[in-house]
Amino acid sequence: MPLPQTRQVAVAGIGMTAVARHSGRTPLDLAAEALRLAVDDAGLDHTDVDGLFSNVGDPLAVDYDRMAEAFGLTIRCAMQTWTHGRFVGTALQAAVSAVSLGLADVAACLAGVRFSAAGVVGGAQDTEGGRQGGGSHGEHPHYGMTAPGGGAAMAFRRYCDRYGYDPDLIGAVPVAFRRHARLNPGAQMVRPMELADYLAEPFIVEPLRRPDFALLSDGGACVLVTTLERARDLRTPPVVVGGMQGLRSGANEFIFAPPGLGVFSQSDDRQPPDNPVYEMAGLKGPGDVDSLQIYDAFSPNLVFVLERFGFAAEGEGLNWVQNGRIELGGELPVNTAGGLLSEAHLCGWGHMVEAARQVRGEAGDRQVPHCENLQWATTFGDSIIFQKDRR
Amino acid sequence: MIRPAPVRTPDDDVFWSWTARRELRLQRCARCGRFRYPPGPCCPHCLDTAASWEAVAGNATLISWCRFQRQYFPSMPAPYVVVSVALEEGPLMVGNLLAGETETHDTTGLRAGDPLRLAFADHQLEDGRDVVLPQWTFRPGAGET
Repeated sequence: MPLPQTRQVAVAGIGMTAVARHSGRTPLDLAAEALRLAVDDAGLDHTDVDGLFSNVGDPLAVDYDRMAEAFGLTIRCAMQTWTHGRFVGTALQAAVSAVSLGLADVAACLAGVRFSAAGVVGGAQDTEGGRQGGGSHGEHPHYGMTAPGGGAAMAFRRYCDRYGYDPDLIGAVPVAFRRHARLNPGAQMVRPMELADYLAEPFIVEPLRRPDFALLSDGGACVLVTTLERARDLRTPPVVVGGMQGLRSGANEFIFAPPGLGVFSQSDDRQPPDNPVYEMAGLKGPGDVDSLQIYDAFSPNLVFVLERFGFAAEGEGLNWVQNGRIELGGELPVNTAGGLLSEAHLCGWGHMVEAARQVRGEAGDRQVPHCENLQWATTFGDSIIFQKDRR
Repeated sequence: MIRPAPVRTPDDDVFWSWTARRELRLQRCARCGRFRYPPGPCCPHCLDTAASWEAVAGNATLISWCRFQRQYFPSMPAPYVVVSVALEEGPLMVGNLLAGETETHDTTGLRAGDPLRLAFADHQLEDGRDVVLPQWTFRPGAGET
């Protein structure tokens, strides 16, 4: 039988627990609360959930099968990626695709994460770096090259050398996201941080400083998607998934760089932006986007996203983020809840929850005015455009 | 200079047997002629499996560097520098910088595009075994301000 006609899909429910550096709670407990919050938000019952998607599993979080059994779910479509925040967009896209094709009707993206039990990310016990051919952040332990931050630092230095920048300019990004976090009652890092404070912070892997690195957090989040038709009958304004494009890979890709920056396996050959997500969502391009959520594992990720997606020309991204352009009240507010850098590291799910709040108009002090088209985007090329229901 | 062990799988064995003899040899695809790194069973361009292990000239260009200020390995105290280099044959490699026989972590004046030269260094692994690692040093005329 041929594949069926696709259905339109919307976010119908969101849930997020309190976050903390050390919560004293288990990932199972955090996931359970997030699920309860999301089904209540949607006006559904947990028994309505028939799809289960996650980008993180044991021991950082909980595997899909344990969650399904522990939460009384009957799932007919499940997917879990290798444990890594990078797959957050992919996991949500899988949930949307499943609902669109009718493999599920109510798909839950669910994660309870506990970084407090994880120890140092990188180094001697780092299984991610222990991969033939180098880890996916460029790890080569015998040279001391380790941790995602090592790869991010190497790529950012390359960018600064190539385009003639002082790396200290990146401070504009964590400063902006901290300002946003200070408007978010749920954020983990709310101490004021202006540029002078940022520059006084220690380097972790030069040229990146501690505030350029994502937080470590405990917390849970859940995003429920269903058909737009059903979402219109539920509790909250539907947040339509208007466009998507997938995760990129290949020799010319490095997770924390734009294609063709010339680090690790990349060629030294930048390409013009090629992003079909806008057309799918009925937009002309980045100029139609009201707000942006990016996977900010490291501050330079924003610079690279802006160039990859065409908000800024090649080599202009680090200039583009200066002087408040990316802040609430500026031209393109980014990571309005504070991001991985200042809100919390829930492997990207905090960003998806904030995206839905913004499009619903429920972001309070952080509300982007007339937020009708909100884009999720990453340095590794996946993207989702969330849109106001135009019924 | 003690190090964590390199990750080794059977795909890497021939590479390490050459470095033990202080030769940097990479696979060169028999079909398209390209050198490849990291070692692998097939050419990343044309997918062909026939290849020969050929010595590289030993010249490279600095692509980037980063300096670890936090300690991640028990045997490698911070600060230390890691470089990314492009061999003249094409592939990119990661390593450390030597000034003469010893590692340097001074990046003053370092710029992308600086010419570098292959230099082998003896290290001890954390488990006590010896290893020879390909490293990089400034080519004459480079690094001067």
